Amino acid sequence: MVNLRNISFSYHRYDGKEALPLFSDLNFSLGSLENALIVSPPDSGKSTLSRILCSLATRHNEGVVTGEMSIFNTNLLTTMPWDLTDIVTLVSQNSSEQLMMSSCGEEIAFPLESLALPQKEIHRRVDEALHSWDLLRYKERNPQELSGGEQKRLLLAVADALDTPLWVLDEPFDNLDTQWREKLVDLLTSKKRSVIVFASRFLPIYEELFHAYYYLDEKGLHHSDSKQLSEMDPLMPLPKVTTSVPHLSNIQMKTLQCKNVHIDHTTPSSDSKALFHLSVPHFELHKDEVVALVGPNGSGKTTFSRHLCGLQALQEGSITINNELIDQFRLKREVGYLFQNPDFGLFLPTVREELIYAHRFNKDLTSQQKKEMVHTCASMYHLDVDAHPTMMSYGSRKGVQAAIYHLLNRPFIILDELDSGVTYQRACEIVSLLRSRGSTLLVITHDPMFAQHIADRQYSIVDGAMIETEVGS
Amino acid sequence: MNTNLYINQSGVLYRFDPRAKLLMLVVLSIVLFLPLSLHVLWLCVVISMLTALVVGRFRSSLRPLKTILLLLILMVIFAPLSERGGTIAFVIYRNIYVTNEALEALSRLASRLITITYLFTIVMWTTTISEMNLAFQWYGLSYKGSLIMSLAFRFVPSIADSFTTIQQAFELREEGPEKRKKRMRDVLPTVIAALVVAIKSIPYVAMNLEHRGLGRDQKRSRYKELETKRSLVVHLVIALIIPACIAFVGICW
Repeated sequence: MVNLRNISFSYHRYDGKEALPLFSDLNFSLGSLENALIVSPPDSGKSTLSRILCSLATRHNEGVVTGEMSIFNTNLLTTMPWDLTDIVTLVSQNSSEQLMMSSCGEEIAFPLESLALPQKEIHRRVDEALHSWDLLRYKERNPQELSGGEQKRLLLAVADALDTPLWVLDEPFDNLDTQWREKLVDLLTSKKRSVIVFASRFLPIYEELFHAYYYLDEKGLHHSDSKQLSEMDPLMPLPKVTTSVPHLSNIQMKTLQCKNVHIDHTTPSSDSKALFHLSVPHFELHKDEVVALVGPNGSGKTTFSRHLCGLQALQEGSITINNELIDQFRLKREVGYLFQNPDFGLFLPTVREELIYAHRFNKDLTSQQKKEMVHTCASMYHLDVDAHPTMMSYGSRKGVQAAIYHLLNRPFIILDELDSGVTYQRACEIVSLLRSRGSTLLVITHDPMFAQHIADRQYSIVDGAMIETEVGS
Repeated sequence: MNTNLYINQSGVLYRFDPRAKLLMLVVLSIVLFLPLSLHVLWLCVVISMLTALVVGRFRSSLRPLKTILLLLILMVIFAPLSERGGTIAFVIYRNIYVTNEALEALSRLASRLITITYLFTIVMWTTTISEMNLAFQWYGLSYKGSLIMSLAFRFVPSIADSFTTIQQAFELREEGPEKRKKRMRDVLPTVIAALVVAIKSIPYVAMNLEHRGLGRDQKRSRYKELETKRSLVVHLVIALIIPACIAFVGICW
């Protein structure tokens, strides 16, 4: 059904350097109603390969693809993407880049309209898909106002409504909470279609879920099995950090407390009712600890974080640091925030400019010292200072975000779904590096195993209230 | 790119047919350029601002004014100097003076700009993008044409959205205990970054539209349709009567 033979792909380079293949001599085949998992670390070409499978890779990005590829005997090299709408559905890693319509209902209806389905059938499928992913109440709501996990569910609802014989899912389990991960597992085991899942790391739920397991690197695609893949990226003890960035001032360790915080989240496209209510009776971040924050999709984890770092003003309650009441401006200087979607935090042309940005007016350091600082930090986070963040993978951009905050003096840093799109090894490394800097970390995650591995304490959002729970629960 | 300005509420303007809203918008914009009395022009400003206050909240209702503030300031500075004829109202310096006629022309220009800005904003606040698309198609625009129009309508607010996001990201990355004064040179990187983000989003939008079947030969079906009721005729008549009344009163006053 899916046949890829000797596939090589390289992106056009604009700096005049020779374009190196992202992968070469890639061979892959998948039978009808079979599932396959392709694991690969960031920057190995997962997203590109997923686009190749939908005939999208070279349509709007300059790149060269060679080899033979077909889906259901349709030659992908000569087929336009719109002719594959009823054959293959792609759910991309970055949900926000795939959402285009102004309501959730329209988002699902758009491809069904393209297939010229009768209006009645479109309405039936839209309602069924929204109901199935518990999004019916958001039918008329702007998809941009949904949380990361809800956006992922909406894209899966689009795929559900289209019901194509092949799904290509790029990091589908990331951003989903336990309930929806289980629902996706059920769909994968239902044997209604063939599914290719791309992932950065091997999750325990992948065990015996797929017919075939692969590992992707620059040399191509290698047959593997679940045991081998899980051993490739185990949750190892947090690595010890031996190097430090020169010329950085020490972070003064502090304690942060939130008391009686109540948040009603409303949006312009919603009616007068709030999207959710969150109550935080008591929340604390002690000096030098890692705290996990878990909760279902759309429960307010990101909104709470935005209040904690001063991006949004508190409606009710108080935030204190070392028992001193802190205003919104001071919070921005005390609490760093790594956005769930790294695209919301990176905007400058090169990694070097991103790293130096906060120190551009720092007169205490010479330009040579700033240079040393940036280069050491970049090497600690395995970054090329001349690389363009826009050209880096989703996971690598998360590394850039972390490096930026390493160079800032922030006693508290919130890592919003750090583990999505990166390997366990890389996520643990980032936690270690930021911890070595002296910051207290609040890590938002949907992975209980990861939370258990890195966190000292845990808060959970249960029925609209944030409470302290056992780590990993 | 899925940003829109729609505010989900209910009211007369929400029930008013989008086709009639578009018609009224176009006719009113033309009427405002007729030789209307200044009083009527400023009455239009007041009515449009009050309508905005009812639809949006107080802060939202001032937003359209904020977006054209720079333009208004430039008009106040330069427009009176370009009109040299008439009675001198006051002298600024030697041969530099402002005439009564220049002030009247400025007042006319400013009232038209403010009213039109508010009218467009009110239509965007009270009409969903899909309704707007269907209304364009009802007037004979092709599906692709109306999609392009709706994407264009969304593109500007999405740049404004990116600007806010980038500004917030930069604010989080500032160092030092003191608030720095914002200067023009600080705004420039944010503006450039917002434009880059907007331009970068174009291939993704194109990719997704194609992946979801835009470009297929077969005629698309429709998820939603605008109802063809008798009330449409009433709404269309209202959409013509209101501008006609403004024109009549404005010219006769």
